[in-house]
Amino acid sequence: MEKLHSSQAWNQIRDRFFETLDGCACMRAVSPLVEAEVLAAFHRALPQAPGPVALLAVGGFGRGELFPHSDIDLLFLHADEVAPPQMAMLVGPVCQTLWDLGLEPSHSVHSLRDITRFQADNAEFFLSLLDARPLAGQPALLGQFDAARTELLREKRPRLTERLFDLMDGRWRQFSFTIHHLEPDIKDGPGGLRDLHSLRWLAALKQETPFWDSPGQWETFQAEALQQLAGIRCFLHYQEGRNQNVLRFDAQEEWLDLLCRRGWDATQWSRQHYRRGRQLQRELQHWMERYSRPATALQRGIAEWRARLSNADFLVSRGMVLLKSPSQLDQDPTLALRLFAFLSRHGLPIAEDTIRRLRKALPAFVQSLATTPAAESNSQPTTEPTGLRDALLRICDGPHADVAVRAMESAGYLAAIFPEWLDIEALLVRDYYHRYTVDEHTLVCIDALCELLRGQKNLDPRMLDMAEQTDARALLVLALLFHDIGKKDGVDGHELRSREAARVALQRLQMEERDIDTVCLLVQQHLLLARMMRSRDLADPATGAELASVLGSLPNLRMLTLVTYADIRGVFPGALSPWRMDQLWSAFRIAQLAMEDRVAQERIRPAASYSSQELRYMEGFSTRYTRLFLPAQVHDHFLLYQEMLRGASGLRLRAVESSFELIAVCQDAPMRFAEVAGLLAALGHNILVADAFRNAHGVMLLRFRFEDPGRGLTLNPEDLDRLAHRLHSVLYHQATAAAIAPRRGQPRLSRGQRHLEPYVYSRNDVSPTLTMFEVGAADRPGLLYDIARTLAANGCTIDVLIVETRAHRAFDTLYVQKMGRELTADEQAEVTVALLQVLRSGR
Amino acid sequence: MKKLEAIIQPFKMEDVKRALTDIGVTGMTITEVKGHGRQKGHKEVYRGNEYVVDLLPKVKVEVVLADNKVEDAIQAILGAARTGKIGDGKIFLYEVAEAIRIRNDERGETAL
Repeated sequence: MEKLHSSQAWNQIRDRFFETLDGCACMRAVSPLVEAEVLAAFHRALPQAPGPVALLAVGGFGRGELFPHSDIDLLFLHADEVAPPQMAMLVGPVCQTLWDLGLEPSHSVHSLRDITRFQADNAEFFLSLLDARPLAGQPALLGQFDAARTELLREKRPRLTERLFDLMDGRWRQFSFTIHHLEPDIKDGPGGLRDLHSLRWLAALKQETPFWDSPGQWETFQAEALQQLAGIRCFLHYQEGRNQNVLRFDAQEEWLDLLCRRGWDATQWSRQHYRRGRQLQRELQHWMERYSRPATALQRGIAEWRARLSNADFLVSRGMVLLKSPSQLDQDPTLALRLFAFLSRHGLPIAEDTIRRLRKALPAFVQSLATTPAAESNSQPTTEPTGLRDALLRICDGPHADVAVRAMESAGYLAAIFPEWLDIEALLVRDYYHRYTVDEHTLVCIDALCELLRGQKNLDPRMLDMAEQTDARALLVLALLFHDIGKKDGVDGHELRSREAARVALQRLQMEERDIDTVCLLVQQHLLLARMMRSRDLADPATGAELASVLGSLPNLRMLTLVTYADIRGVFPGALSPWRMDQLWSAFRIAQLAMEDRVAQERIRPAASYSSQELRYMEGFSTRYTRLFLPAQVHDHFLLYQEMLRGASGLRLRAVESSFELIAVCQDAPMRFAEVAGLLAALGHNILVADAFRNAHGVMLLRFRFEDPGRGLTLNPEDLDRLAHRLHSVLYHQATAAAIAPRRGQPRLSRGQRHLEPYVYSRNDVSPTLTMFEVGAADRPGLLYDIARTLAANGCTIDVLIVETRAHRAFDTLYVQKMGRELTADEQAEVTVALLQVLRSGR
Repeated sequence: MKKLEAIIQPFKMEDVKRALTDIGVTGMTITEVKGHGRQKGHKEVYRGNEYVVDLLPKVKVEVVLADNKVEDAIQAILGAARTGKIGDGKIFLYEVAEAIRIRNDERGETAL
């Protein structure tokens, strides 16, 4: 028997398709061709029918939309009195004939009674009845079928709708809920043909028209989406000679080449494909939100509990965020930014309805970006650069920044704020490791980072620990947002182009220059650790030294490690295997050890950018000093140094944002640092950051940043002068903290802090003359004083001190010496015991 | 025919791949593995927490070769993977009974 695929009619359809690339015309031509063969086979076998029977086309065949190598979905219907096994006499010959023709029938046999008995676990079958089309058989039976189907749809409409949502959810889950795959599945993937049919079924079940908020859109959308998807699917079927629906890289190139030869812009075509797919997925999401109900009492309870987060602007309903007064968006463009900040804080999903309202208000928002009104308060409608910057930093700093950034992207606000984003929208970079388009990869990276920053339990404990130490969350999110922007002009050298794009965008927002530099460094170096992991010996100190030299500081190294972690996880699920995680960790550790060595060993040497007097003042400081302070700040410190030499006060105390900063230059003396820390603690101030540097001439520079929880300094500015006077006494007249402000008992730790076990870890291999102590403990007033006093009591002097506090924990790194040399093993042990004793007090 | 299995340092993978390609070895299987030989592992302390690193990341390169190419391949790997330090890895050699190309049932050295 001649195969249908070799027939002249078949070849004509094929040739016509490659002339026009009209997929709809192709499938509508294939369908009657196959139908003729099916009918012929059915009529030939009909004499063997055991009773009243009918044949119906279902699925794509039922719709008259058959792709060249699709299955031929058939429903053999029989009257209730016919026993199902008897149907084999009819079904067998029909299917065999179709097989012999080279077709692939996919059939089911059902009685009329089966149609009326709904089974939730076979919802696909009942949904397929929506497209059922009678082909042949007893008219009375077909009439009964039609009546039974109508009755079923009337009665089981809600159940069918719920099951359809379940099926969609399960299908989307297989594709990580995104259409943005580099090799998209045209049939089953999000935004694919199955979704288009699902939307048609929903419209039939609910008797409503999709896109109800944009009348007339549905017909045009449906026709265009079907034309686009059908074209690719026909092409894939012809190329592969089978029912293959994934647009793989090689097929993509051929398809885009075909389009180009017909004058299409391949990039625009791809972008259009993804945009339309997303629109389709979002419309389905809209239907799901509108018609699905929380399935369990627990889900209902959680939704109600979340409703308590509603405020004056936003309503939390069924676990999703809605606007209380959507019309406000046009009058107050900052409402959108407040909404994104709300999402970032609470991590609630935004309702599709809200996304649509945001999109409608987008022109007003863009207009507000252009007009930059003068008002500064957040309560007034302004999106001038600084207001926008602050709002954006708030959004990126929140624990659920990933949720907010995705909402911004969906609503078009991300591209409005950063037009650079459009460069990577649906950008295909064909790479066998990557799974997603560049924009989706970026968003998945931010998801991965935020999971880590939120402390999600199943993640690598080392990375969780590192994330906890990182304050600059917003900078990390911004770095990831821009890290691949430069790929629009190719992969080679994209990190440099990305860096430049980031700089321009962040300068436009008037971000602080230091923050811009940090983001640019992370963007430019985002491949550095991955490259080192592949090509360098991670046990070789030279590797660490090279990394240390590029990154400059431990916070930069930590941030880059987190960016690399997120970047690898964004490649595809499972890309960060335990093997790669260990490699990343090794790269981090070798660089960290090198940096610790640098702090201890590298000292500032003469350089052209400083005067000879300034260089004398800086001589012997760790190079960390110039990495921590800008040249202008160094000059400021130098002026304080000169004042100290003249016998005046070498200290400066001032308010910085919500905290206070003390900079002091003084002669080094035992206990001096400890006494300053003690005085601040005794007065109830909470030390956030402290640094100490000692130069070659016995001069110390101290920097403390502290909070004033009692707000005494904030409310009484004259108290600032009084505190400066007291500090002066301690720094320059050997007064003790205890004499000036006696401590009132030992501060107690909170219940949450008591379970934190303190640690002391020492290393003697960082420098020939210094010992490094790493100390971690629950933070409390006076902690730093106790540590410094313990060290002083053991005869140790602090050469470099780095203090970090994070929430309820403090992490101090101290480089100390004893009589100009490093500590012996016994001395280290003694100091460790003494420190642990102090750290455990108050528990 | 022989199967050559080399456990090497991850950062030497590209060098080894290039060295094998240079002597005409076209097919190889590369796997990310973890393990230890004499190098054992070590204990790391990071912010007071101890992390035992007892299995170190390595790369396994597997190649099946005609007998007359085996020595060249060994020399290529030795030359490319050696740093002289502990942890450079090992090479193991096995006899291969048969090689069959699935596509066309071709057998023996021609299937390599």
